[in-house]
Amino acid sequence: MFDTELFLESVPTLADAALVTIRLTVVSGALGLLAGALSAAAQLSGVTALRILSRIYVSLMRGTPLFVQLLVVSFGLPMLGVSADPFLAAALAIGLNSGAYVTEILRAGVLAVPAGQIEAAAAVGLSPVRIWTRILLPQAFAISLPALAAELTIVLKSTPLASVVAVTEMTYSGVLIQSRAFSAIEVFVPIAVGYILIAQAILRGARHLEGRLARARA
Amino acid sequence: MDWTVLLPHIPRLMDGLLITLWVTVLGTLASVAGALLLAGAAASPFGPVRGIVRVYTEIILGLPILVLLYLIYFVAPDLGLRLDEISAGVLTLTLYYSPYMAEAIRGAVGSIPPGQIDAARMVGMPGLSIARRIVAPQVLGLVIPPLTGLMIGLAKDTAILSVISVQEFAYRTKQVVSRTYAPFEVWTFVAVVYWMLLSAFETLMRGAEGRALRFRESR
Amino acid sequence: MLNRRFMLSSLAAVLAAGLATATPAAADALDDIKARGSIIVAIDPTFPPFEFTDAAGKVVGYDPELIEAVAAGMGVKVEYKVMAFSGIIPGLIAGAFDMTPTLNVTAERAAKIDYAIPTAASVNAVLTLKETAVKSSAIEDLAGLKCAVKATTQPEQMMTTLNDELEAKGAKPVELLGFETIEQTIAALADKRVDCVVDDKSVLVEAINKRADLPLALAGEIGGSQPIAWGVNKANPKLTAALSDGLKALKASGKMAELQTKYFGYTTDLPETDFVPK
Repeated sequence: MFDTELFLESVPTLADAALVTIRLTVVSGALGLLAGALSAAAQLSGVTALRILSRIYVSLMRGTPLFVQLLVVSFGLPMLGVSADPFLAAALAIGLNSGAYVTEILRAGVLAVPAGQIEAAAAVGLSPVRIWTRILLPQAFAISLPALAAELTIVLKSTPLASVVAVTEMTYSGVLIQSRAFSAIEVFVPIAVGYILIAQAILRGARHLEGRLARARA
Repeated sequence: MDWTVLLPHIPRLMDGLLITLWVTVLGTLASVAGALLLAGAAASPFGPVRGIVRVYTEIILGLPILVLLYLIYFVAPDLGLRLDEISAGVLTLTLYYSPYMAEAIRGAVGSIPPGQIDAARMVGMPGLSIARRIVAPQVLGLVIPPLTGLMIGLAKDTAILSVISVQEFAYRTKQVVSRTYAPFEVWTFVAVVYWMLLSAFETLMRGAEGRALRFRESR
Repeated sequence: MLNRRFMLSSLAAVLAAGLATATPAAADALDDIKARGSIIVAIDPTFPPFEFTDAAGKVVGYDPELIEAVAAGMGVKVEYKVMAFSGIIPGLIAGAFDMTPTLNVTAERAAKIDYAIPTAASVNAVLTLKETAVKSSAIEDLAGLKCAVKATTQPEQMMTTLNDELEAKGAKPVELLGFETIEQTIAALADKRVDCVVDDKSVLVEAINKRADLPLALAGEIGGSQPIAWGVNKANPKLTAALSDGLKALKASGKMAELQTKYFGYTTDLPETDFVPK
């Protein structure tokens, strides 16, 4: 039994909530990439203190549930006097969490860059910072693109957890309708399709970028 | 913080932890096997096989695991497939994580310069030797970090099984929170337990990575 | 090395949790509400008829109407924070908002939060399919069968207690399957994964009405009645008292009875003192 009326009535609400999901995914993903790049560089920098710091960060973020991290950021920030907009708090928590996974992805990417390139760059007198920003990170990024895109789809799919800190994204928006209508399928199908479409956009975008980077390198 | 409220509930939590560990082990083994199968099929000479793998991968990458679980547990019985809670959970984890792991393997294989293989072929190395002596050792080192992340993700995603009444760690945790209304005590305890177990696992995988990469010069 | 990392991160976790539990300094939330001109209410509107959203997304139901009436009496507006339930209890303990409605009152919980006077009484009932092995809602008739409940709810706890009594008498306990939403417990019943669903009676009646496509039937009530009340952080006794006073005024004016008729179809007498079970 498919209630077409309920389906049609739900679409505008779900579409609004889909925008929240997309914004949250993009902002969290960007924060995650930034955190991950810094942390990967710290881990491979050869400075012991930085390496340990980065390891602790990765271990804490990966080793504890995202739910706990969301609570700590959402209820901890206001205690430190930082005003916590629910959206920003959620994006920060999800971004920091994703950054730990991005660290490992970029670290593997950097290790895949042929060592000869670094020696050559050092030989022509490039500074270590330059070597990182000009040679290692761009290539590691290109090598890691498929994995980074997959990680962004994971970020997309962890956004529903933001509903515990008062962000009404697509899934929770659907739950609100479901519990009023006592019916799942009319809401459940468009939500599933919504996630698949957003993920497709991410994956296709990444593949497009991968193609362009490959051409630029060739 | 009043830690004493937690004490009477610790046996309940530990029972749940055992179920989580069991489901994690089953799910990881099945997912790695599934990933090897998918990675192999993705390199198949048959176009239709590659097409099916690709469509499946793209759907899974976009599908929230909760939706998949819901389909397998609540919708599949209508189509004649009726699984108990644990089996439905392990199947969901496998279907969900195999494509992600297969992508990680694909990425690692793709990062080996094709020149190496050409060179090996030119000096007359047979195909199997190339796979075993050139590709596998390098892929292993490159694939361990992302695979570790995915396995940790899988371990934590077992929590989703609480939705279909598998009484694992997260299910028990929520139960204890609702009884005691002591969320911070309970969740701090849970976070420390998770963190200790996953750190131990991570350290293990770092060791394996180090061994796999020992042929590379250090950086 | 491992040791130091362990200590550092446990320290961080404890610190963060400690931060989160530190309730804002001495002032009662009632003063903040008056100064701000609004009361902040955390709500998970997935529990009709108590609280749900209308087609426009507005929070409606029995409790929202009561809250809005009490707030009007206090001369302040209502500001809803709509969030999933698992965030509500941590937020209430951390003092992230002023109150939350529709909590079952239990002795263990009363050690952690304060309750205003009860707004409703919940009676649990047993839901089955019309052709069923369930003879009646008596716990003896459910022994050895499978029942779906919403995980972490009062009905689940009640069934656990009844199971202990069954086992003490040497009978087989009821096998309990816990799900997230009422919708899922009913799907499990429809798939014949379970023989019955146990939940609040008014919620089950609502489900029977909405799912006319399924042969659902009530087998009867189970257990006694349980008070339901609004929860307030223990740091705010003045707020709790003000909310209780507001509710008493709504009782006296007949407004509460009117809303009960509107949303439940019947009225209930509710206690004002000694309502926390021992």
